[in-house]
Amino acid sequence: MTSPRTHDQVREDLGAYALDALAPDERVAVDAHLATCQACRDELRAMNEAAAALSTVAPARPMDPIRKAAVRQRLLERARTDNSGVRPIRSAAIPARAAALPWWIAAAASVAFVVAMYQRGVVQREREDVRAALAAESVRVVQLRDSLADRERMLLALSGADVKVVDLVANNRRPNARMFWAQATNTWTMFAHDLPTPPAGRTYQLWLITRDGQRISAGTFAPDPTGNAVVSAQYALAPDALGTIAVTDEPAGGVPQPTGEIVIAGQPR
Amino acid sequence: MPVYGQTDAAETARADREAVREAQSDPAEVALVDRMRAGDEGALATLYDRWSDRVHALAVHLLRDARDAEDIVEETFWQAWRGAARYDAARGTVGTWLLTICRSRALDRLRARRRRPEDTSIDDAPPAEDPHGDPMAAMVTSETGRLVRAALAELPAEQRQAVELAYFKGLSQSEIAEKTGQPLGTIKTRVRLAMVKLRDTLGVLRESPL
Repeated sequence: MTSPRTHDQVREDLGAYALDALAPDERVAVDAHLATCQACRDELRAMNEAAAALSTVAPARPMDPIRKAAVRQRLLERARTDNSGVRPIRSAAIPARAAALPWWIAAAASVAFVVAMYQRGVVQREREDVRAALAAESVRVVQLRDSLADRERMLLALSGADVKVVDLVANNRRPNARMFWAQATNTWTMFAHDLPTPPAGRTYQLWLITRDGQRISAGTFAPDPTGNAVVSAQYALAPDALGTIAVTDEPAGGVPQPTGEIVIAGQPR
Repeated sequence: MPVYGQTDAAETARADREAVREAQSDPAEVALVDRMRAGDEGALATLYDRWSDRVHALAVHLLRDARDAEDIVEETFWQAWRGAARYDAARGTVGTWLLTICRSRALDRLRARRRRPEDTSIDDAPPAEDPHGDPMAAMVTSETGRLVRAALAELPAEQRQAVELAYFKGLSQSEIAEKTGQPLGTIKTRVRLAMVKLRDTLGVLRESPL
């Protein structure tokens, strides 16, 4: 049990608190005092600003513009997915080391670079064109790296020792799917086949239904023209909590709770 | 645009006013966090455009690794997005909040590295201030940086060391005492005096007339 600290004792610790340099029990004692003392909260704000100001001595290190744009794009994609109610799978970082690249990606980038160098000596307009092409190629390289990382992550999500497999089937109809639940990473990956294209204004919605009846939306999706779909989501669920996985037919945009017909469903074996 | 005939003192005062603005809450940035809380992805994009370079500079400074630093930048803004509802303007500016998240995540990674003996010890990395290293090291990111650097330079060496070990290496006061062989009470005094000095440096700026 930590004994309460006096106002003056806490005051002396606020600098270290802002630096996160207190021992855990000291931090708890300061937190308790802060809850009741406005003067110390004001002082802590000033100390927090002072601690954060230390960061300003870090030399300027602007990010590479292409990589900066790629991180921005990934963040926005994650936010969009987050808004849709499905926890996104975190995109892999862009590998920074050239040695980690497959040779053909590195070669493609090198060729684009050489072309750009050649064109530089011709005319300004051509140089600008090539520069734009190079930038586009660099973005493509980043996308290819991300794509490879995605596939590696998917392989892990399908093949780990912790992966539980659930088959989803329809009654006397063709659609079917297989869900891979990687319990260690809370990753859900479903491959669906033979799904009819939903009519205008309708969509498919994936549900995780717990044994106690909780219906958790894992997102909406549409199959490709051949009727196939891959749906990924991330959601933490206790190993024995899953009752049923179902896909329902719902209004476009999805619904908070299932309302439409069950298209396919399955239970863990 | 240069203003001819301006004195050095006037230039310093202008720079100090700039620093004051950096240290104060920006209502527009608080509004961005409010919009993120409501799920506005555009607000996240704007905050990223404003702060990613500063966050990146800190991450590189702490981690000395471009790939790790990039990861930390993404995780910082992702945590800000997910935790926008927990931002409390009473505890600091939006910039302070972002930099605090960044530092916390970067230090977690540093600690993870310490647990992996095959990796280079952080003690082998260049010191936090290395004027003879990359020429970019001569540049500071802002006028606040210039002032904080000056304030740090004025501190007694042992106080500066204590605060740098805490902020840039993530050591607790007990760990600093162990590392330096000094009594814990001595380290606490050094940290306290150094932080009061830094607080006063920024506080005086805030109270200056604009």
